[in-house]
Amino acid sequence: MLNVIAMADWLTRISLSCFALSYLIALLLEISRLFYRVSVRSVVIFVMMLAGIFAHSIFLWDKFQADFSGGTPLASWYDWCLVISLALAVTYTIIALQRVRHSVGIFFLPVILGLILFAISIEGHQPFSAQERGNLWGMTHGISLLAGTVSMAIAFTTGLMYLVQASRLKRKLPPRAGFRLPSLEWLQVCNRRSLFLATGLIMIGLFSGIIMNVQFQNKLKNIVPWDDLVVISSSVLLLWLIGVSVFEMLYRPARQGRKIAYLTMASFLFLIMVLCFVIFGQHAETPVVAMLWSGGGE
Amino acid sequence: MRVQMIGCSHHNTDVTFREQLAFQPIQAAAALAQMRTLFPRTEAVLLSTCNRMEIYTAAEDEADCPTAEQLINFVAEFHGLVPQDIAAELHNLSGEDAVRHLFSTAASLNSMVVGEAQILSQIKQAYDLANAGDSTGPLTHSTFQAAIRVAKRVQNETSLHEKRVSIPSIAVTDYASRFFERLDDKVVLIIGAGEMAQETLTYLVDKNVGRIVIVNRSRERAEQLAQQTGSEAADWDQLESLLAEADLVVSATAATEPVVTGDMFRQVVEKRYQRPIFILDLAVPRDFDDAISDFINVYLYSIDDMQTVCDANLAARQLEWPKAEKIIAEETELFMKVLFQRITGPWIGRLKQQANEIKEAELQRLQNKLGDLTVDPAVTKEIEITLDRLVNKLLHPPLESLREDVSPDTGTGLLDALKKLFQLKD
Repeated sequence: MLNVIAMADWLTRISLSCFALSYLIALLLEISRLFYRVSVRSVVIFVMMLAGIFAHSIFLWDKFQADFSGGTPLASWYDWCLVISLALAVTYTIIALQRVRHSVGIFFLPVILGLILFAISIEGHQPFSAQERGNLWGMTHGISLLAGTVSMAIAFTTGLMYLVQASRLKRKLPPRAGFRLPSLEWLQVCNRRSLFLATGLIMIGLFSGIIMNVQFQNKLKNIVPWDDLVVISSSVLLLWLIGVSVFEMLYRPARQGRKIAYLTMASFLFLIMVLCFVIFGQHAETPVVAMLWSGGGE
Repeated sequence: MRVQMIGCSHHNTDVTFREQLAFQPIQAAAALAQMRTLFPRTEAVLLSTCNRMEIYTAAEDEADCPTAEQLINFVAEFHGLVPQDIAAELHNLSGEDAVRHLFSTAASLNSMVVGEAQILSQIKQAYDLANAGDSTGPLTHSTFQAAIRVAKRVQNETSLHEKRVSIPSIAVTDYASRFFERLDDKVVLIIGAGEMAQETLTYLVDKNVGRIVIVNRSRERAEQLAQQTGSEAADWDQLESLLAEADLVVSATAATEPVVTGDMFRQVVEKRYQRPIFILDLAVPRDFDDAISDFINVYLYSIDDMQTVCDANLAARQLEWPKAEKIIAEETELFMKVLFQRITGPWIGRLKQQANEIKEAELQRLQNKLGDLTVDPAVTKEIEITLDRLVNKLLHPPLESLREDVSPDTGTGLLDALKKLFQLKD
């Protein structure tokens, strides 16, 4: 019994730096592939990733439980960035398991660590508004945008790998020891599917956001103004993604590798820009909503 | 006696140079016929593969053998090139070095993919072609037959040939996997129906390719190959439409000019809508115009582009290398010894015959002088034995020296001296 308590206590002491360090070690090991060969490296990377994912999950679970007792859990940009990075870490580990000889980690792990760093940088930001958290459309809005971001990050990573692999093959560079990439065909399929999925999810996210806003507008005026920079940029992003998808479906040459990879890169950067507007523009914490959250409304 | 080789290989020249000097089988037969006219007392074998062009010449008398310069001029003239442009790139080996080189080549130690079996059959084909054209002789017979035997010895006594490897196997297993995740939904086009195409097909069939189409100038040959491998054959004039359909193309024809030009491929690209295509041009001269690699999503690889993977293959076989080299060194030494002994043999016989003729003449003269004197037959026999012993004792030291001294290291100086001293003639 004491052991269980001690274990539970130990688990609560897991911090963000624990899993960030695991991922960092995995990244360094992936980079070291470029310089020398060690037979057990893949096993160590896998162990590091499992340890990182375990610590990451425990950390989020603890936070979920802590938030749950005081309100809606995982309801801040900080939490979201950590959830996205966990989803990417799991995706990477699954791919790495299937493709032990390929250097997929060099592309995935910097994105995962980048998200964790970004989470740290916005840790002090206000959580989402109560309306958004409690409303069905608000949850749909948030979850689909989160999943869309994960999907777009995967599309970006595989697109980047595609461009690197295509360039190496075009220049007839030999596969460097420790730097083998998956086949062009696999990268293209992953890139394409992730882009379509991201477009669908972001579309759901945006439309649920609009419905939520209309609902609120009926009760309180201008919860989020229609001319808000985030609303405009999100609409433009959605139009862009729909345009890319339609272009890809109708214009056959665009289906072939590089064009779609370049468009994915641009889409991802566009998404990052919109997310920056959202996070730093306090989109989810408009003054009216914040007032409601503090108990002044309804 | 002289055995020599001039040529070039993938070790020191690139494909653009080699394709200028390549001899397709019909050209090789014509070149050997021309050589017979130009150098009538020279034996010759011409080996031309995608990775090397080598001409082996041999003559009992050094004076009959063409010089390296003459051979370079011949090759240049045959291909309409300027001798000075190719001379620096061609290497020239003679005597033991040439023999060692041939043995190493036959044993696949000089191959791009070390341990591949294809080179030995190419050497056999080159030798057969020279035989058919009456270009070979005792020296080339013994050299090439020894090379084939040595190659088999290396094959049996080392593990260089384990896990059968070849350029097509590397092309299919290593290169195709960088482009395609699976081949069961792909269209593979094979251009040509020669040995290389055949070998490539065996690997493709193992990979369970969706559809394989063979196109060859001779439809009959394509159909034969298609039947053997369970693939399809198509007419040569369908090449353009097949290129538009294909995901992977392996080309290995014996054409002397590119079979797919940049202009032709432009039409193909329009029909493909930039769908990626991986082209492996294993032919020398190349079948695909180099400009084709500039098109978007076209990945054109020639035989030289596979060098790095082949180097890795070489590194993996490095442990077996000294063992194979030792066999080559032993066999070369032994062969050269036997070869030189074979040269001295007829002269020793001739010297003995000459001495015997003198002995017989002297014996006859003695018998004539004795005339009607009754001589005991036992005494006559004793005289004959004495003369024999005298001749043998006189000839023994010089012949022993000749057997011992005439070797690859000392050359044939002693033999030449002996010929002069005893006035031996052909």
